[in-house]
Amino acid sequence: MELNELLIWARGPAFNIALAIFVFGMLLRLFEILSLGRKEDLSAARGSGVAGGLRTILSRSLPRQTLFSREPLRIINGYLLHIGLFVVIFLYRPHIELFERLFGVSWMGLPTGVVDAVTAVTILSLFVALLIRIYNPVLRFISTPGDYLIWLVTLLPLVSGYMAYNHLLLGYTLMLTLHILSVELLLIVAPFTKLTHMFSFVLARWYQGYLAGRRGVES
Amino acid sequence: MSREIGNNPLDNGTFADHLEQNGVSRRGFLKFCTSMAAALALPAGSAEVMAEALAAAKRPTVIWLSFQECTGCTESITRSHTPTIENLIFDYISLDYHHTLQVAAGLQAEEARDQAMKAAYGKYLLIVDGAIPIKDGGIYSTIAGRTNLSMLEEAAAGAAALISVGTCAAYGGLPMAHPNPTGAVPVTDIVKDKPVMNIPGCPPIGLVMTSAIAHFLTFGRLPEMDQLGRPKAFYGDSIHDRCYRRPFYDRGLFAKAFDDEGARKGWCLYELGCKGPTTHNACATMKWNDGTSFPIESGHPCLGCSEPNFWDAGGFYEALSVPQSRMGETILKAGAVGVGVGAVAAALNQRNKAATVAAQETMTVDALKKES
Amino acid sequence: MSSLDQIEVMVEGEENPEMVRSVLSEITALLECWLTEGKPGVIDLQGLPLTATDYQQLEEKLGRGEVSITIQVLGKSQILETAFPGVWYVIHRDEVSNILTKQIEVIDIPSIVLSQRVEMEQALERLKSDSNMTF
Repeated sequence: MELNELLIWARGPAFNIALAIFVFGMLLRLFEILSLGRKEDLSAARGSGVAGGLRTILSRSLPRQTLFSREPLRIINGYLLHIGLFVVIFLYRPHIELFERLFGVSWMGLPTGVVDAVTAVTILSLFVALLIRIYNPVLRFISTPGDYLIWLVTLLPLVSGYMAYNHLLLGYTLMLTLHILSVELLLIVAPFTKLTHMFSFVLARWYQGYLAGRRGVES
Repeated sequence: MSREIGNNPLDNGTFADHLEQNGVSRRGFLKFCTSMAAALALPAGSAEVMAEALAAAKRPTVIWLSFQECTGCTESITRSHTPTIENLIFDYISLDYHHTLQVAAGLQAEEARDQAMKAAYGKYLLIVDGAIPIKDGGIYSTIAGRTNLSMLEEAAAGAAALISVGTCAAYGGLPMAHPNPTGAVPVTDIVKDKPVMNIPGCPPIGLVMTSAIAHFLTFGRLPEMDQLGRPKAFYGDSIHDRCYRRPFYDRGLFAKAFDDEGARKGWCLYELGCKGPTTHNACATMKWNDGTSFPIESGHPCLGCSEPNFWDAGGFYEALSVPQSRMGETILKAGAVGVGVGAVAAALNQRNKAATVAAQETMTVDALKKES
Repeated sequence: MSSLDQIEVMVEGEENPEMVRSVLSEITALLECWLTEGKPGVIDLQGLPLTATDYQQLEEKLGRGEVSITIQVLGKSQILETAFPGVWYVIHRDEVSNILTKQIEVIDIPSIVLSQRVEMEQALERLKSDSNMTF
């Protein structure tokens, strides 16, 4: 297979397959979680569950003083990683082109040089995250092979994208192809690993916040 | 220096003699070699070496075969409004067969080809433009009752080297595009035992071809080539990397329509479908129409015409980062299946839950007392 | 109806001092090489993605020297010394003044200027046969 054929395959049929698996898997998982439901709460409500739920969805994105003072590196690194991923995925013009095609809406991007620098920081933060996972005994103990797998499939698109843009190691066409393929791998793996948290974090926070809000306690 | 290329038996003169007859001085010749050496990106001092070797070169026999093509390549190479310096080499080579350019037609033309091949057997240069259909015995394109396939096989057997001019001859091009009704293939699918150089492009730049021929005459071999058989001097860089609009790409400034502010200011055409990043050619530096401009300079995205399969690589006006699939349809279908399977899984989960609840024995105080 | 020249087109001059700086540093290296090893150097300006602004900046930096030569052969060629002796512009044009090559040569004298031996020999023969002529 020639290089260009591989690129055509990656941009066409392969992306279709990956996208189908991603959408299918994610809906399946979310449907499962939602359909499990909760036991009816028969106690008298002391506060608004809905308000608590909505508040918690947002408030859990802010650092907590107590946790932060205990493990500042882990929390700062977590922010770097997630904000970095957001910038790289959603504020790079060629990526926005893709979302525009998908959803019909477009938005401003950042200069390519800025995205390039953010990519480098994000890659570094992923390695810091791995070191924290390995050197923290509790984290190491509760880590499954799946956790290391999602670390890898998150790293690959970042590294291949960075290398393609900066013309490192391989030719641009091949690197671009590898980049697209690595994203497809991420899409396929995501619904069946802890990467589902890209959507399910909303549900989890909602439940927590709802329960707390109903009981009239802070969450 | 050994020269594999064949002399034309009818002409014993060297290239220098030819130039002298045409009133070209040695200094003029050196000027010609300078532009060739510059085009080939040869190191300093090469023009002088080239001039010396080329002056002594004997007139080569060249046979040009045109197959499934549109004659655009011939047009590109021969269509210059003034006598250009690269014409020197075209005037000089003994183009013994080219069915568009030659005066002879029919039997006489085919005879000329036969004669030229016999006279310089094993030594002539064979230039091919157009793809070769091989489906159903190659009957979809014939010349003088012979299939392109058999004509190429015969001519290639006696050639010193081949040059595939244009994307069709080099990679199959338009004739090979999906669904490829004639079973078209590039030259390299048929000729495996001879050196073949690809000069892709739709059409390729004329100077690229003359420079390649000049290199062959000077050094007796084809220039250094990449994995796709292209001379590295011309196809070593991508259009994107040599593009004067590249700084706009880096700054994230893109034209989003052909008539918006960005287009007028000459911003990057990536979002209008430019294939510059994955296309290797010399357009950005050598330019077209006597150095006037190249497509991007004229405000049009690069189509990627010098790359294999460029016809099948998706819409010309779709950004490289946009997948070439029906994403909306995929999402709807996959989503529907996901919800369906999710519902089944939910039902199973509910049943499991109910069964687990039912299987639990109700713990009583008496039971606890018994256990302790 | 609108005509073509009514469409407002303005191309932004892209300031790119890096490009000019890298050309200048290459010239420096080539001149050093010529002086120490006697090897001539060439930079093909057309092979570089220089904008019109870049060319202008480069020309301003290099300036003009004492020598300027015009050769009329297959079109006009200009050989211009810059303000830095040993650094030459060599610009070849075809019959209709299109630029064929635009190079910087680092050498004592660009070889295109020199008379060619073969032709000097021919000239000698011509002179000898001419000397029999009477004035």
